[in-house]
Amino acid sequence: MVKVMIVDDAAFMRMVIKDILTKNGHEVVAECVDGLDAVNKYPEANPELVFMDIVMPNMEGIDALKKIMEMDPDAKVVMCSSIGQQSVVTDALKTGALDFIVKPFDAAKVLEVIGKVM
Amino acid sequence: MDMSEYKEIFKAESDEHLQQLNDSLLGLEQNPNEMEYINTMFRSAHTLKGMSATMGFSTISELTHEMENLMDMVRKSQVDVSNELIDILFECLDTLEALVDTVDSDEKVDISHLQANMASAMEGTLCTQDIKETVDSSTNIIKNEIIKELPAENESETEINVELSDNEKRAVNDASAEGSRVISLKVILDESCVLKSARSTLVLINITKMGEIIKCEPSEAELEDEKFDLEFTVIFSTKSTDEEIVDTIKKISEVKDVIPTTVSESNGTEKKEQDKKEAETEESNSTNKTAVKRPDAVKSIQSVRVNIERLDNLMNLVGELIINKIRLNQLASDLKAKDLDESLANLDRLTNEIQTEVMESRMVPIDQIFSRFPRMVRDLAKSEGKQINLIIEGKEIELDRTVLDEIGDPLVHLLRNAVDHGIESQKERKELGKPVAGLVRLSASRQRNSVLIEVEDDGKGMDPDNLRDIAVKKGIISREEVDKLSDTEALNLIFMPGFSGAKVVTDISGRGVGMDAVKTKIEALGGSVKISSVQGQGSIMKLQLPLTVAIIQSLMVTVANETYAVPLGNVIRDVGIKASDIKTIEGKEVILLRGEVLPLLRLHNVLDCPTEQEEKENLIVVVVERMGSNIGLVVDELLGQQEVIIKSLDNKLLKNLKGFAGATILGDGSVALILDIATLI
Repeated sequence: MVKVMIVDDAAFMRMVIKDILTKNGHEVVAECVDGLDAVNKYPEANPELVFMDIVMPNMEGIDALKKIMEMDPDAKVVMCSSIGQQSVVTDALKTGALDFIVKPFDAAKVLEVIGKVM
Repeated sequence: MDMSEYKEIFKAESDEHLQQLNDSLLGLEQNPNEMEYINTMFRSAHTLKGMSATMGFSTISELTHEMENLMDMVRKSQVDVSNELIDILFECLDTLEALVDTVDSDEKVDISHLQANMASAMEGTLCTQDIKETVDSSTNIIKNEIIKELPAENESETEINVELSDNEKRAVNDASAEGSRVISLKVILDESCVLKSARSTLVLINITKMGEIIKCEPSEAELEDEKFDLEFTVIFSTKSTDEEIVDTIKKISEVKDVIPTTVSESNGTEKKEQDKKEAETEESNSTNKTAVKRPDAVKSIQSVRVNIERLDNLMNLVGELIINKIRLNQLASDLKAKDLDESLANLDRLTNEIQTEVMESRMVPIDQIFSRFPRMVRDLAKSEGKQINLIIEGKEIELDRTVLDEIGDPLVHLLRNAVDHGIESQKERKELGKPVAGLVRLSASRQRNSVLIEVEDDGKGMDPDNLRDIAVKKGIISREEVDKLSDTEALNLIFMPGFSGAKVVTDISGRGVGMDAVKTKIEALGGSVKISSVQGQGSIMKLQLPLTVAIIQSLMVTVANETYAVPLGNVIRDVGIKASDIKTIEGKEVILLRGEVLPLLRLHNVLDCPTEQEEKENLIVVVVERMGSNIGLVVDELLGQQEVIIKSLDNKLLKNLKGFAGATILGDGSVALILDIATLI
């Protein structure tokens, strides 16, 4: 079981990811509506893994990733990207994100990524 | 994965984003340089793309994908915000709205003309060719139609055919001198891999953890630009074994195969490679810094979505509870059970609180329907060549969900009329010395137990004489009768069935499209419509709406030993009159009350319940308001004011019954009908 924090401004996406995770025995310890929310909740939620959306209001995923990596250099973050964001994902990986998944994704992809990074 | 269970939340959230897109686009039309609107639109389009792709709604994701591209170019000032662009985007929004609405059906919507329009909007730029290419290729990816030339089988078995420069050769030699091996690693990605460049970056990052990269083929820059097919080769020095390397890299998702080959070459130096790396990190740092930061604080929303049916059920249960409470109260007083008083008082208080809470939980801000009007008014004004300032006030006012659902169409009618027929053309306004831009004000305000919505315009107003003429011409009323109407009553003629809908109305006086429908709808909700108009200065429509439809305050009366409820919203007052004061004018009974002629309706006759009693001298009259004028209902007895729970009569048999708004259950368990004053003849 992995403790996961989900960061996505779309409640719909949070719900889809959360269901995939919880149905497969993982625990969602926090849901965040944007990057700022994620940075604020990270210390207390203390997740083992973060699923981070990229395009969000208030604070984008890449900035939240940086802040989280500053707070916790061992943080494990997987970026959730859409098509057309190669450069941001590349930057995120260089910043320390462990992997990424591309929307639309299915349960198998999400679980595969968890298996690979944990 | 079965996605159907997410459909509801998908729709709800898509609607929010559509609204946001609409609002921002309207804002952008006013301030074409406001970055915040552009950014918001970009984000919303992007989010919609991700959501719809996840749901498998490919048309929506295609359309939003291109909108996102277009907004991205606007963001980068590669495309100007022109009127054409705004129009194209509005059209896209309309189509998106339709698409989201009809995701349940198999209906195919053709978006090719929108795509063509967006493409030509993007073409109006300097770097036409490049952009067009990226747009095309990414669209293809979404369509999953891209056909990749797969690497030929024998090709993957090739030895390294990578040319090394002198410097790189030196690096290879240095590595050997330090006891490292140099290997060439061919990495082949899955065909399904979508973000190849990012995937290759991940591979390179992992290789860096094991050793020092000497060369990439294609180059790192080309890899980042996705200028490669499915495979690339990395030459690096390492102390790890082949197995370790293959294991690590194969662990990365979407990596299909890894083929290591040992390299031995002559001279090299690592200096250049290091410089290059430093330059690279610097570069990535600087791009990172440019990311937009918005320090706004975020409120987390403490709410849950509840199906409206649940709330309806809850409201019904509260209704039942109140009925039982009333019954209990009555029993207690019948039995003179004093001991029950205190607990009954508590029960009273608690049911009241529950009722209030349930009612509050059904309340939604009126903005939910108001928010779509700026767009509508803009489109209308544009199509008629008018300039309109729409002022919206009180959008935070809350109304019962059921009421809100019902008043959308009536408000559309009223606003349409105000723009269509109320506001004069620009030319006329100039001649009249009015400001060229017409003013339409839509406001909501909370009264004690109701909400008042006003639609006001500063247009030409209505001419009572004109309305009289039209009414006569249409055979709604005789010339004799119409001349007796006061000006206010004449204005109310527009609510008569059959008055509106004809072109003549539009041409001559301007108003009247479906006004009877508006009135009927509002009154069915237990509300009322009032109209006032000053010629040359404009008109005001006032809609008075109840906060909730399920429970209403009523005046209880009896007629021929039956109890009826008269909605308190209609009641002006009750008076006692003497039978001898009743006069007859043209066969109709009236009475002179406070200087006004009040027509009388005897409920006995209307409801067809013959009274056994002798004609009494002292009669009780309930004065109610109907169609802008008052009438008096003659009843037998007043029982007092009471809250009643409306049980609707909307089954087949009773649906068309005029004169009744519903039924209710009284404290003693008996059923009383609720009178509908508007349709009571």
